[in-house]
Amino acid sequence: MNDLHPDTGATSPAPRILVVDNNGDNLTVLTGLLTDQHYRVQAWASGRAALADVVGDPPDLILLTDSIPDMDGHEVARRIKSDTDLPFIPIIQVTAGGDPADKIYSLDGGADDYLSKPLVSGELLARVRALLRLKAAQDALRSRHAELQRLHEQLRAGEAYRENLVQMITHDLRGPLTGLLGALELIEDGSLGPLTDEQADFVHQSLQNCQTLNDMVADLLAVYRLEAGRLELERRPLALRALADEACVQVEAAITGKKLRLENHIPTDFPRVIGDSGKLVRVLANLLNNAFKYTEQGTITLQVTVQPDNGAAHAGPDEAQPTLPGRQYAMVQVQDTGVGIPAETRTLIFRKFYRGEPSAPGSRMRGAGLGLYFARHMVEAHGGNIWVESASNGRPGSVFCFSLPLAEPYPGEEA
Amino acid sequence: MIKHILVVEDDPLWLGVIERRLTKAGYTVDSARNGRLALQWLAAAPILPALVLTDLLMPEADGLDLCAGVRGNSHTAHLPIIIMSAIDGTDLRARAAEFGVFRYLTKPVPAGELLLTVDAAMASVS
Repeated sequence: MNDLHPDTGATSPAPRILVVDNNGDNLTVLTGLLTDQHYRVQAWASGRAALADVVGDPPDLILLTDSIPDMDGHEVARRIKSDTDLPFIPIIQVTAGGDPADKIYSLDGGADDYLSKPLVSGELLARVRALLRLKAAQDALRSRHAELQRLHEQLRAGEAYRENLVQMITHDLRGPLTGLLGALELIEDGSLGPLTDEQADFVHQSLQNCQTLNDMVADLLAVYRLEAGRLELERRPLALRALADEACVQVEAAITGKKLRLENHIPTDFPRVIGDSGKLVRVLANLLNNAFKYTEQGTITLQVTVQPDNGAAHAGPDEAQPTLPGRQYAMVQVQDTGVGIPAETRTLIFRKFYRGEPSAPGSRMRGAGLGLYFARHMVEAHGGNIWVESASNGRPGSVFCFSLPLAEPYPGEEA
Repeated sequence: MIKHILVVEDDPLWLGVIERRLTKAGYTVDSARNGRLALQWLAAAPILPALVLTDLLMPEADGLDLCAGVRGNSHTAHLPIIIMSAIDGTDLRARAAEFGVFRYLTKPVPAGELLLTVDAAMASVS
C-alpha cells in the first residue's frame, strides 16, 4: 500500500502495526479499527509468533496485551526493547484494569505507553498517531547517525590513504633528488676535477633547479601536514639573527646571476622570539625566495623592530591573530626593490597556489604558489600576523612584514 | 681509531656521493644495498666498522630491521647508527629513537651536515 498516509504525509508505505492479543474478538475489532485508518495491520494471538515477526520485519508500532497464553506481554516488551539490533519500536501495553501498579510495571518493563481496557477508539488512535510521530523522528535520527558514521569511516580511510600517498610521493621525489643534489655538488665544488666556466655555469643552474624542486617537495609536505593538523610546533626562545642567517644561507644560491644584494640588518643581540626554529627558518627562506623571484636588481633587506602589538590591524579582519595582553612582538620586515604588488592582490598572494606575474617579461616562474601560504599559516600558528606593504618614500618594491611574540619583555621598549 | 664506516643505501647515485665524500674526508667505506646484506656483511666482517650509516626504506630488510639486527647481536649492539631518510615522520623518528640511533638525518643531506654528523658520531665512541 503506497497511499499518501495522513500521519506521515509521505508516499512511503503505510505504518505497519502489530496487534498482539489472546482474545480473537479483541483482535478483530482492533485490526478493523486500525485498517480503517489505512495502517497495515498484523494480528497475533501468540507472543512467540509476534516476537519472530518483529525480528523478521520490525513494525512501526506494537499494541500489546499483557495476557497472552505462551508468553507474558511484559516479557515480550522486555525482549523487544533489549534487542539492540532492532530499531526503536514504540509499544503500547494494554492492561486489563486501571491499577496504577500495573501501569508502572508496564512502563518500567519497556512499554512506551499504556491503555486500560475498555479501550476508547478515539484515544487509542490518538496515542497511535503520537507514537508514530515519535517513531518517525527516531528513525530519521537513526538514519542520520548511520550516514554520519559511514561518512566518518570514509573520511578516516581517505585520510590514511592520503597520508600514505604523501609519504610515498615525498620519498619517491626526495630519494632521486638527494642523489642528484649530492652528485651536482660534488661536480660543482671540483671534487671530481676542474670545470670550465661554461660547465660550472650549467652545473650551478642544474643544482639550483634541483634545489627549487626540493623546496617544493618540502612546501607540499608542510602544507599537507598543516592542513591535516599534523604539523607540530616546538616552541622555545630563539635568536632571530641566527634564524635569519640560516635562511640566508639556504637561499643564497638563488641570487647568483642576478644583480642583487642580500642585507641582513637584524642585530645579533635582538631579544629572543618564541617559536619553532625549523619552521621559522622556512618562513624566512620562503619570504626571501619570494623577494628574489620578483626582483631583478637592487637590494633585499632584512630588518626587525620591537612592537607593542602583533599588527592585527594589518591582517584581514577574519584571519587576524589577536595581540596577547602584556606581550611584545618582533616585527620582521623583508624589503625588496622588485616589481611591487598591486593593492588588489595583496591579500590574494597568501592563498594556496597563488602565483604572481613574473618580474621580467618572458622569464619563467618557479614554485607551486605554496611558499607564502605556508608562511602565513606558520606565522599565525605562532600567534603573529603577516601582511605586505608597498615600499615607502616612492621606492620601488614591496615590504613583507610579520610579527612574532617575544620571549621576554624588552626593557628599551616598555610602555 | 678505526675510521671505517658501513654505508647502507639502495640508491647507487647517493651511495656513490657518500663514498666519495667520506673517502675524501679520510674514512674507509664499505657498502651494502639493503639491511639484509648489511647484516650479512657485519656477520662476516673480520673487523667491525666504527659506524653504520643507513637509509630507512630499502627492499628486503629496511633500516629499522637493520637497527634491530645490530642491536640484537651482542657483537654489534654498541655500534653508533646514523639514519638518512627521505621521510621525516614523527613515528619513524620515534621508532628509530627506540634503537638509540645517534642521529636521524632528513634527505637531502648537505655534504657539510653529513661530515659533521659522522665526525660527531666517531668522537662519541672514541
